[in-house]
Amino acid sequence: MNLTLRVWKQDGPDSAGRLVDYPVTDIDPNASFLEMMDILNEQIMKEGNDPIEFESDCREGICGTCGLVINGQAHGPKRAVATCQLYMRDFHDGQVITVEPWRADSFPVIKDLVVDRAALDRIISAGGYISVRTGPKPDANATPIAKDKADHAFDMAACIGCGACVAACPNASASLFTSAKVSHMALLPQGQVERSRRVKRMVDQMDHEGFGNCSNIGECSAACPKKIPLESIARMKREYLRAVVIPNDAS
Amino acid sequence: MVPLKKALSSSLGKKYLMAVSGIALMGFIVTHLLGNLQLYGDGVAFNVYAKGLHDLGPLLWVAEIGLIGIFLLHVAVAIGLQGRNRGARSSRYVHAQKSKEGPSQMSALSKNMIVTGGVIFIFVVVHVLHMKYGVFSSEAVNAAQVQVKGEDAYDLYGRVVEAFKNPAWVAFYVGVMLFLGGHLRHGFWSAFQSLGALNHRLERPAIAAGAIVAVLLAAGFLGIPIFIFITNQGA
Repeated sequence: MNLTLRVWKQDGPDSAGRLVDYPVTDIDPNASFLEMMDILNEQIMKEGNDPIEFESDCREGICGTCGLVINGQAHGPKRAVATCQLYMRDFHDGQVITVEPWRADSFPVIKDLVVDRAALDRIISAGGYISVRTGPKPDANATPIAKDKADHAFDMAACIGCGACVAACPNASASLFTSAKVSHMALLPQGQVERSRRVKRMVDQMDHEGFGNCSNIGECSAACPKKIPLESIARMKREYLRAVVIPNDAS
Repeated sequence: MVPLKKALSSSLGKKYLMAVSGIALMGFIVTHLLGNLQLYGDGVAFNVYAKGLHDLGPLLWVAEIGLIGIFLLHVAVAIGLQGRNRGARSSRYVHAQKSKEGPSQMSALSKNMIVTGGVIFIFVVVHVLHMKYGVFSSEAVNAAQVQVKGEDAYDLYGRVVEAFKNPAWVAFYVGVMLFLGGHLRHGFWSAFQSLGALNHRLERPAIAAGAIVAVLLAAGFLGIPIFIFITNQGA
C-alpha cells in the first residue's frame, strides 16, 4: 500500500504545531498502524531527520499508552480497539491519513503526537483507590459479591486510562474516564468505605484540571477501546447526588 | 458529604441545574401546547381559556416570574457550560471530528444545543412581545373586545389570527418550532441522563422517547400557524 501521512509536528508545549505530509510506500496491509509509523520513522531517520514522536508500550491493546486521532477519530476508524490494534487493511491504497495528538488543554502536547496525560493520574490520585489494611490475602469468596455486580464492576475496571474519551469528546470532557473508576469501586463492597468522598474528590479534581462538561453526546463511549458504556456516567451522577445527601462516610 | 452550594457549582451540578430547569420548561411547553390546541377550534374556547388565565391575577404573576426565573437559569448555566467546553480545547482538531457511531449521539443537533437554544431564546422574547403585549399587532386588533360568559374580555384569538394570516409570521413560527424539536431531540433524554436516572436498559427507550416528544411537540405547535393560515385564506 502507498499512503500519504499528514502528521502533526510540534516541537514542544509552547511552540506552534503544523501538519507535515509524508509519503509512505510499500506497506503490508497486515502491518499494524504503529508498525507503519515505525517504518516511516526509520525512513525519516535514514534521511537524517528527527523521527515523529508517538507513544506506545504493550502493543496488544491493554496498557493504554498509545493513542492517536486518525482522520478525526480517536484510535482510528475501528471501534473497541486501541491504535496499536488497528491494521493497515482498514485503510485503502492511496489514502491520505491525518494523524493528530489527543487534543485537550488538560493534555498539553509534549512533542508531536505525545501528550501529557498526568491529569488523569491526578484524578485517580484524588480518590480512585481503596484504603485497606495490608495483611494476608483473604480467602476466595470471603466477601460475597453478586455475580452481576462483579461482572459490571469488572467491565468498569476495564478502563485503561488511554484518554480516548477526552480526545473524542467535542467538549474534551473526562467524564467517562472518571465515571468508570467511580462506578468500578462504588459497585464493590471494598469501595463502600470511601464511597462519598471518592466521587466528590475525583469530580473536584476533574473540574480542577480544566476538562469540559459532559453534554451526553456519547462519542467517548464509541471511541473507548474497552467499550465503557455511557451508563457509567449516569452512575457517577447518581453517586455524586448521593454524596450530596448522604453524610460523610466513616473515615 | 458535598455541600449543596459546592455541588451545584461543580460540572455535574451545573448539569443537574440544566436538567431540572429543562424538565420544568418541557412541562411548561406541554401545558402551553395543551392550551394552544384550542386554536384548532373556532376561537371561542381559546378566548375563554385566555380569560381564565388572565383572571388568575396575582397567581399568574407568580407563575410567570417563576417561569422566567427557570428560563433565565437554563440560559445562564448553558452559556457558562458552553464557555468552559470551548475553553477545554483551545487548539482544535485540523481534521474534523468524525463519529464512530455505535452508542454515540454525536450529531449537528447534539453538538449545537447552544445554537438551537439561542434561536429559541430570541423567539421567546419576540413571541411574548408579539402575543402578550401586541407589539407587532394592529391597533384595531389590540383594542378588540369579545364577550366571554357575559363579561368583556380581550380578543386574543383575533391577535393570533391576524398574525398567522401573514405568511412571514407563519414561516417564522414554523421555522423556530423546528429548532425547538431539534433542541428537545437531544435535550429530553439528556436531562434524564444528566440526573443519573438512566441505565443500560432505560438509555435506548429514553433516546427514542426524546425523538417522539420532539416530533409531537414541534408538530403540535407548528401546525397551529399553518392551520390558521389555511383556514383564513378567504377571510
